[in-house]
Amino acid sequence: MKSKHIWLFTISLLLSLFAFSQKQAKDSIKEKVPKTFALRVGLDLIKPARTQFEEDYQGLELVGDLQLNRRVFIAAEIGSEKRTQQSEQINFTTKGSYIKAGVDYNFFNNWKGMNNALFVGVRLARSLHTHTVNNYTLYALNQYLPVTTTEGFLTGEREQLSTGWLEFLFGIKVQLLPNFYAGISLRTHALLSNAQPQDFGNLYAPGFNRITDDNKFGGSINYTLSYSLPFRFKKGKKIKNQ
Amino acid sequence: MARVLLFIFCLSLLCIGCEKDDICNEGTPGTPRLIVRFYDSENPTSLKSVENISLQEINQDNIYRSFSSDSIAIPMDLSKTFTRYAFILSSSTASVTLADTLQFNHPYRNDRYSRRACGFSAEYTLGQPAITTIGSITWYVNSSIKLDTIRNEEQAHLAIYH
Repeated sequence: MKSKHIWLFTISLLLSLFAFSQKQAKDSIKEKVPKTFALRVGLDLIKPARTQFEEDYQGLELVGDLQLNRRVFIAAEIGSEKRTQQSEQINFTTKGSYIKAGVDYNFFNNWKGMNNALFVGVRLARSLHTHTVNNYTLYALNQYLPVTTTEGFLTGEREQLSTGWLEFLFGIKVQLLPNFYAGISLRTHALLSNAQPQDFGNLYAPGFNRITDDNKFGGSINYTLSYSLPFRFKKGKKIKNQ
Repeated sequence: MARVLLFIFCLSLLCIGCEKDDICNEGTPGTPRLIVRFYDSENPTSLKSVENISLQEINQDNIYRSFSSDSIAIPMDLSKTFTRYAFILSSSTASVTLADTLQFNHPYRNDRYSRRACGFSAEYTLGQPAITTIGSITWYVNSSIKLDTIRNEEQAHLAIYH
């Protein structure tokens, strides 16, 4: 109940930010500056690095954002993961993909000609994934005869699941070279829907990470390198002699 | 304005960033052991304790327990359909082992998932007969099933007469 209030508070804060940004957009029209959109696409570098160095992990995440004005970006991430892990006495593999879509609000005031960002954002995210139980040891209070099952019984693949969650993030994006940006974001996740498979638990979701029994929160981090596509969409009045 | 918002946002991240560890509670029933009670073969309704018996699963290097009692909970090897235990008598010496080897038959096993920290546990069913004797027998007479499906350790599943 308390956490619900925290979320409500944070969401309403973000909503008030958008109202604020619309007002600014009107101001910029007055100055007759053409509204520009810039599309930025990139790659999360943490997941390929983990794929390289961790035997039980494969992952990839593509990121993109579209600049609406100085403050507001529409942003999305799509990714795919395959991870094998040992949870207490169960070894299982999760395979699937996810999509996150939302907005970022930049509250950094750039100097003229600079294009960095310090932003907060919100995402609505959903994954599609399956769990496969590779092996497990039966839980017993006495450890004299441990029973490990590697085939049959409840090992094997479960049905496909979909997990939904909300993400709140804080990040920075820094222009390294013309059109190239490095970015980092810290994210907090809150589960919205958490479907359970038959005879197993939804212990992990791609994009969300670890899901615990008594807690609907999770977290993640991404470190991105992105490229701003050199064309810009223009809307509104065209300025001559440009 | 922006700095205040940033501060509040980071603070909210801190508040919800903590995560409770999953621990399987001590009281959570795991895979139950077989509860065996020992009765007098000449007077099948009265309990009769065994004296100084050591219990060892035949593939294990260590004994499970030494006991003098009229009941014991014995773990079963559910990766097979039977479990063989040697009931080693106290009259054994270093050179001579006096033991009755009993095979507990449990052909059916049903697993279920409880939660992350506790994982999977099993319930199982005793076969007919519940006990097969292996080799020569000194003190064991016979047995009868009290409860053929082992779901918990709350009551006796098997009676052994000696």
